[in-house]
Amino acid sequence: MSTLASSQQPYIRVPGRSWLTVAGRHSLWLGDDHALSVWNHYVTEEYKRFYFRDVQAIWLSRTSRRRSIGLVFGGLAVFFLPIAWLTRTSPVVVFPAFPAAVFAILFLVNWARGPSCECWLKTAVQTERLVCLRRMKTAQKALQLLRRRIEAVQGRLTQGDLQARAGAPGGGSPAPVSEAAAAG
Amino acid sequence: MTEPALACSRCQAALPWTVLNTAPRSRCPSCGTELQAVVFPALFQDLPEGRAAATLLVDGQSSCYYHPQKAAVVACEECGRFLCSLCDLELGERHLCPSCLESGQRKGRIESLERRKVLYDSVAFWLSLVPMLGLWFATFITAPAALFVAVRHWGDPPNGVLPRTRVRNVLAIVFASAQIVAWCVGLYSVLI
Repeated sequence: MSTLASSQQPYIRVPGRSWLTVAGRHSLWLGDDHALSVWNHYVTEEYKRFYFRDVQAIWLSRTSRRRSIGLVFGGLAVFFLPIAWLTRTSPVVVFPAFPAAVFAILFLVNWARGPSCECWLKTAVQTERLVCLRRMKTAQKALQLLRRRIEAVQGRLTQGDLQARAGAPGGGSPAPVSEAAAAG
Repeated sequence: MTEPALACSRCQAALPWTVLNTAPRSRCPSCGTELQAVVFPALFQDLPEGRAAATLLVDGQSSCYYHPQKAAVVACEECGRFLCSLCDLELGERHLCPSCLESGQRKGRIESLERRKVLYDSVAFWLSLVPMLGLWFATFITAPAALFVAVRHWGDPPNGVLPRTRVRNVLAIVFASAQIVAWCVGLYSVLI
């Protein structure tokens, strides 16, 4: 048995999962020293590893996708509702009522899941969109998880460190952070 | 002062220092989009420079297997060859020589270099399921194929980097066996 063969590394799934599309599904996992981005294409899986020591930044920004999806589902529900109302005494009421109910539920679920967002992760050599993080609520949970792991490895940068750096014309690395501060 | 290389994903304007590492959220000064950006010390670290191998100075000193004029600093943990700083490839906490790294990657023995895997249990599962959804006659070929793939890869080590169960393999065997039995019954009733 080769020494190269490593044992199965335990991964913890980060909250958030992309929709199942024709292209597959994206998810993010946490390993001991890296985050694993997984694209499942039904019969194959593609992996990208982001080592905690290499991550330079993570940011998420709010998008208008929730409103767009809400407009589509809401519009379709509103389209079918009057038809269902007009045919309410007829047995064919099921044909407009069923889609109206489905689209109304989808509209409510979309609304309840909260604002949508895009999340990005940057290393020295790449900037990768984390497709599975599409809602602010889950993205912030994931961000906290990732931040804790990354800061345990690299240390913490505060706004004060950044302002000190911004004030220094030549730049320079921020002051190293103590292990205790990083762990806290 | 240089701005950090982070851009608002909506307006593509560079984000100033003032919006970074703030709690809980801030807004892009250009477009007003709500955002949260966290930067880490690695953003300010320069990429490490490549190492130079030390030349042999003393007779009898161990030399690199690949560069006999260079001093060995470590042994490959896979094949045991002595390596100079130039040939020493660090993979996590391990030290490997270039040829072991290459063969390990090619044969899929180094999990941390694995970028893509075929999920044979999923292949068997979809092969047994999809033809039933409208391509029924194709099951004459796909059912034995699914059964073969499921049985052939049953004992493989866990397929994929992430943990997986054998449920797809089991379902594939059940579906494929049912289809084969259906074919046998159908052919028997036609021929006899």
